[in-house]
Amino acid sequence: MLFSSPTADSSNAPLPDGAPLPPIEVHDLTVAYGRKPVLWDIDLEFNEGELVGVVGPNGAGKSTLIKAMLDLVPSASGWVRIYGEPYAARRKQVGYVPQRESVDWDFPVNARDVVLMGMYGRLGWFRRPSRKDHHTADECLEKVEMSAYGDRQISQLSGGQQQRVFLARALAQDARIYVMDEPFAGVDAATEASIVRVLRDLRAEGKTVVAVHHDLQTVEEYFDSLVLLNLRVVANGPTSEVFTRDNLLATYGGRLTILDRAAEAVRRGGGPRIDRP
Amino acid sequence: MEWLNLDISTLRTMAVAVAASASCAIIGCFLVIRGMSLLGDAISHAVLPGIVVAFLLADGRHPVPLLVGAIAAGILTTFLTQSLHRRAGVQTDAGMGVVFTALFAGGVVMISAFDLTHVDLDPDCVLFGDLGVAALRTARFGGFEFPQPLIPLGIAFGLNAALIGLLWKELKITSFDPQLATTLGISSTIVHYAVMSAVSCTAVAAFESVGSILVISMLIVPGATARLLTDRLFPMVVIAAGAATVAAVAGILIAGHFDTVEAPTLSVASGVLFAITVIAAPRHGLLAAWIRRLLLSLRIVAEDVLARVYRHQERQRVDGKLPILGLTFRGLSESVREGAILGGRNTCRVTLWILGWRGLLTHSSSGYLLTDAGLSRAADLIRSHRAWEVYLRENLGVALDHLHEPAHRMEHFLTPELTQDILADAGDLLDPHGRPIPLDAAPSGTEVDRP
Ligand SMILES: Nc1ncnc2c1ncn2[C@@H]1O[C@H](COP(=O)(O)OP(=O)(O)O)[C@@H](O)[C@H]1O
Ligand SMILES: [Mg+2]
Repeated sequence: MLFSSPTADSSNAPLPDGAPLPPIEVHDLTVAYGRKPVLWDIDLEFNEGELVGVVGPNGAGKSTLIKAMLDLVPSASGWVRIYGEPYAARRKQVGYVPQRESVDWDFPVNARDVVLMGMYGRLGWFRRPSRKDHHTADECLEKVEMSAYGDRQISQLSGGQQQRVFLARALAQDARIYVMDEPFAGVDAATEASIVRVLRDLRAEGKTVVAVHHDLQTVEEYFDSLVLLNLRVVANGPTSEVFTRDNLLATYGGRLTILDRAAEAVRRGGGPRIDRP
Repeated sequence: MEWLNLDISTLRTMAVAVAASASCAIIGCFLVIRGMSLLGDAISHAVLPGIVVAFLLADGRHPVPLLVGAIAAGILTTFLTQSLHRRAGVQTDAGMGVVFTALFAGGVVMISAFDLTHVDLDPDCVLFGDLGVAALRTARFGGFEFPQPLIPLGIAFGLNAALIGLLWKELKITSFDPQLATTLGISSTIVHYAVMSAVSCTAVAAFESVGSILVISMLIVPGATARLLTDRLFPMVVIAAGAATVAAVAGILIAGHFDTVEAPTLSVASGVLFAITVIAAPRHGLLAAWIRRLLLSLRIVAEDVLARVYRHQERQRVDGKLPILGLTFRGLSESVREGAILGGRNTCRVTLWILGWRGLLTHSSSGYLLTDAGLSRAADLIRSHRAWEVYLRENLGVALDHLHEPAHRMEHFLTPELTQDILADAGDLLDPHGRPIPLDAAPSGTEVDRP
């Protein structure tokens, strides 16, 4: 439905009470670009209120999995359900943080404008954000410690600040599930700390967060559960059970670097954390 | 004045020119920010067969069939280009190139096949239009006589303004982040087709006055100009309309003065306006960037001079010399060779004059000496310099003889807070070469004795 009126919109459908529906369920999902499959027979089910990390080498299909969950790429077979319904019926319960490189940061808007975009879905066609929405946008900027930058044109922000604006925009969506593609990629330490704090606050509110992550050093610290992905799901479950050397080797194939293995060895030996150069 | 020789026909031409430029400019902004300027090019050509069909079916220049034909042709172009890309894997630009040239050529073939040249749909007019002639045809409304092209142009402007007003946030989000828009249920495809339909309408409305090639310039140039002048979307649309109006009025006046063809003259005026903006825009302009660089290098030279005099005075104090002698012009000009824009000696002269004028440096028979204010400013610089040396030495283990160069560059950019933090961590009062690090807000006279 293209110009759906707010009342006829099922994306706000109330969730059935008490029914333990998983926030996201992926069943037998296969996605191909042209004839090349990039995700194969993916079966996943996430638990409510968890921080879930999606880990895998470059080109493993992590971004594609995220996009398939959001109906942004067509699936060759299988399906995704959000609280038991197709994505289109649940859009308002899902917030999205795309990869930072996916947009043109020279675009003529300021940080607050970007955050306001998170509310466009709820507003529906033709309607403009109200003064209250502007106020909410400022609150979201504050949650990521960016209140001072609301009026900055977005190209004037550092990479970490841009990432935080994206996070604030997702917060403005006021969703129950947050899906994030590499929120920690290329950010400074202050931003990383800020994002982690927001993620934990979300968990404390009972929200579910699925985030693609690339830094094996921090996986155990940040995430309750993991999906190790490389074309297929290599392993999936609580971080403490899944984050093992064997699983990592199976995920990264020969590509697990000396440095990652050294870090793993140090970690097993109870040594300090090694910083990647 | 001859320039303002505004007879009624000039005024009419000008009205048509302004209406065409402004209609194109406001919708063109969205082509510019979507990175789709070339699609505007494609559509302004591809509407031709739509126009020809409208001519054949409705016989004449009724605006409604023309607009319908144009929208149909524009949507066809957009659809074919997207399908070629999505389904056949043809690159977007290649697909566009194939589609619009084929449609345009088809239009030209139809013109010759049905012998439509008598209704000034000849190939020349199609490319360049004829502003003066178009403005001669007049229509009447309530006893008021005005150029007939204002009707389709008025409709196009109204449609564009309505589209922009109604779909403001949809245009914004689908241009900035189409994927997010899609996840939110705002169809990028619908907005895309809406923009392309609006561009088609505008192109055909402006077509007979300015022709298809100049429509492209009217669509793109004002938006590109406005983008250089603002970082917000709404001001950009307003400024684009303003720039388009200025270019149209100027273009017609110039054309009248030099007796040149109106529409191309208008395009040239628009291009000149753009060129001026590229050079003189306050933030994004070349001139502004040049001035920023000039001011920065002057500041660096001035700071280097202060630091140089400081070291000179410091050395004499350590040697126990009294009274302390100033530095000569020659001694100073040696040190400003690098980074000097006007040549070493001239830059030095300008810098010394500025420093004297700001009360940081005095000149007496013994040479140049720091004033109290100059001393405190120089102490800040030396503190930053030596703090950075401490940092490089202690944290990165940089060799002693490699410390000066990087510190010399960093001293101009380190903030007092950062310097403070580095020194708090180091807890050292001497730099790696054993020279004292001046304290924060050093009281004058304690660091260096004054003569
Ligand atoms: N739009 C696309 N068209 C064709 N192939 C693609 C496209 N996007 C991604 N791919 C390919 O799909 C594979 C998975 O990509 P992606 O999901 O981005 O991996 P990751 O995010 O794990 O690095 C890669 O081999 C990539 O080259
Ligand atoms: Mg990716």
